[in-house]
Amino acid sequence: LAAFAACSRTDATRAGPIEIHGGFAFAPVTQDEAAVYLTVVNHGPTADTLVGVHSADAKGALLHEESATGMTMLERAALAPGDSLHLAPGGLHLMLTSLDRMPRAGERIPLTLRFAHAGTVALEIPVRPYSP
Amino acid sequence: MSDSARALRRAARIGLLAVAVGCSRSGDSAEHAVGGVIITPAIPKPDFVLTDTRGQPFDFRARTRGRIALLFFGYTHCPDVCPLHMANIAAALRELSPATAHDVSVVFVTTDSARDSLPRLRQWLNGFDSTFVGLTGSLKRVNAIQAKLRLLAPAERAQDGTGSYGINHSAVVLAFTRDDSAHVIYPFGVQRAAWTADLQRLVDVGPPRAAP
Repeated sequence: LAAFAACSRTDATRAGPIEIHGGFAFAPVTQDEAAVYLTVVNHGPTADTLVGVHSADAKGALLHEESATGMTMLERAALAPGDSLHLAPGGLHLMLTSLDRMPRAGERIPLTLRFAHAGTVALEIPVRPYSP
Repeated sequence: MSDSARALRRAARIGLLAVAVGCSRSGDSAEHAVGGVIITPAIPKPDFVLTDTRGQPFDFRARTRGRIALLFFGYTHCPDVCPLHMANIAAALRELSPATAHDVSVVFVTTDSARDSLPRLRQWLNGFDSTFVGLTGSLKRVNAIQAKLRLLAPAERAQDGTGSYGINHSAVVLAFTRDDSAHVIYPFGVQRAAWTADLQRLVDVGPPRAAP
């Protein structure tokens, strides 16, 4: 398992011990919001924390959780050594607000994640249609 | 954990209250297998009138009589659960014959009438399927309907610090059959193929029975 987890995925972006993979967004039906999903893995021996999200294409970017009490904004997300943070539909997502343009399926959305220790990671998130 | 146990846990987490849930997978015959979760007792179809996107009164019971009615409470600024449910249902309906799809009425009630104007609601629903019905009413009335359905009533707006806000809503779609009852609910995460199979079955055969 450890060996498997250490393998880099083809779509992975690395910043030191932090790996981000599996990122995607659904093409939204309005420019007001878009949800981004991805997985962050901390391969390092020390804890790190996701402290900020930014997209050049959106005025706002937040880490959100959809739960029994509705949507909750999370200020930060801790990643213990070897831990991963899985953002998937129905749970955690990055919410982009007030997008500058309508993201279409096949395009990519620029995204920057800031970690307390690993620093800033820039990546491009592919946009998918809701129904392929 | 089995699929059905996971679905149950999710249904509980997303706010379905005080509903005994029968197992929908194990022990069912293939004919009775459903992608949703069978609920016992069934939920009677609510009697309410709200305003549709043309500004006209929409009598839910009368207008969906004799058809399958999928009822969902959500809001257009919801980026995750609401659009995914709508997109999956729309995709499933496109896979059915036009005659079968015509027997299914999809009704989306906004829990955010302050921001969801009629044109905005129409535009958002058209992003999925222009036949979807969009309804609005005061939060008090909408909450009363959700309470009657034993769904979690939305609490106050969940501020996220940017001037934007989220609205609590139940994440389940209720499927009312021709007997004016919902025997099956669809928690978040039901995939398009399961929707397609279930809608075909609800139209052709009717509601499944809970395993004893």
